[in-house]
Amino acid sequence: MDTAFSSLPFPCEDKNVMYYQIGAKYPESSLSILKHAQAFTSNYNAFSGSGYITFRFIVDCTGKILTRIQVLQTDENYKKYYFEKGFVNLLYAFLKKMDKWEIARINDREVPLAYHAFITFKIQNGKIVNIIP
Amino acid sequence: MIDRYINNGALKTNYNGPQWQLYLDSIIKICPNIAIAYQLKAIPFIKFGDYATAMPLEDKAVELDPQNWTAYRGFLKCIFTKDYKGSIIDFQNAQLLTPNGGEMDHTYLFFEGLCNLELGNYNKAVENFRQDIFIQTKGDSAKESDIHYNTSFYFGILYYEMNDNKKAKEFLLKCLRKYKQHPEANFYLAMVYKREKNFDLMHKYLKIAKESLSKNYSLNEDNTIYVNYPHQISLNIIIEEEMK
Repeated sequence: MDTAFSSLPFPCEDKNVMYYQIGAKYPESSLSILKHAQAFTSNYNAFSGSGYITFRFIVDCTGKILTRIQVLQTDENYKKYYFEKGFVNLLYAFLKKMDKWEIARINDREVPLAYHAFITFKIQNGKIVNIIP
Repeated sequence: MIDRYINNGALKTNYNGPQWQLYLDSIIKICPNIAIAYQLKAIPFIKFGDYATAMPLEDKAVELDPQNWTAYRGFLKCIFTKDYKGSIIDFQNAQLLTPNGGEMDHTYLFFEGLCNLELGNYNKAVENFRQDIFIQTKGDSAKESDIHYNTSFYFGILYYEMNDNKKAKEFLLKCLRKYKQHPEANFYLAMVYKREKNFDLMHKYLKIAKESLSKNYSLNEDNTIYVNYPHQISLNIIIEEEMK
């Protein structure tokens, strides 16, 4: 997968803060992301497999995703599984189009803090059926 | 042992830090039959999308203490991993183990109804929500005010999905009588009025939904900070509707 490294812009700091500790869940609902993801992938070849594809990453203090991404994949019983590379790359391409990440705030003020976030695509027979969180 | 490694150990630390895992690994090593140690160890993984690590730990907790952890795993499957079929199995087992128990402020039947709603098993969901209401009111119709607003909300959504506008409105309005700012209940009520081509009321409830979300009202479940609930909305969905 993508192992390119992109460092945090000054003065942004990574203090291992999770998105939920600063109320920074992606501001679009799962329903809305699902609709866009299904539209984005609808013109591509049929894929197979059922389970979960998760991208974990850092959002910097300008609201951009660092290209240092971790990909986790399981089948529907939460056992390790590998989906087709083309499918994972397609979902990654969609992830890169998600551009509304929150900027970290504490007490309603922007702070120069990066945070850790994730998006999981729940897959059923090669189709995206749900988005987590 | 539990006091040393859990109450005065892991629980005194941040679950995203290394000490949390150290305390729990220690107690599991010394005494591998303490269910709560596995459940606690799984917390940071489930909340950060690592299901291959989290779920075997949840399974172990259920294996060791099914009475205490079966419904909790069902909750995780329903809300966190959207595994609705797996969740129903857990809640049905929980009902046998601890009849009419509760999880996260709701009856087991509430979650079963929610899962059946999401799976499109509408008739089963109707029965689940009826039983959920029966348990909450103890079968006394005079106790309607005891019904949780999100039971009314999801019952309303269920009837909306079943194209029963009359019952959808009845339950969504019940939800709003208890919690008038509920963004989702206002939004889906607007969608019912849209279907009825009553555009004045559609815009009225879209406006309330938008104002409520802007003021940070939500469907008010503890775990929405981590994960979206089924049918949860966001501002962009309301704006898209307004612009249609």
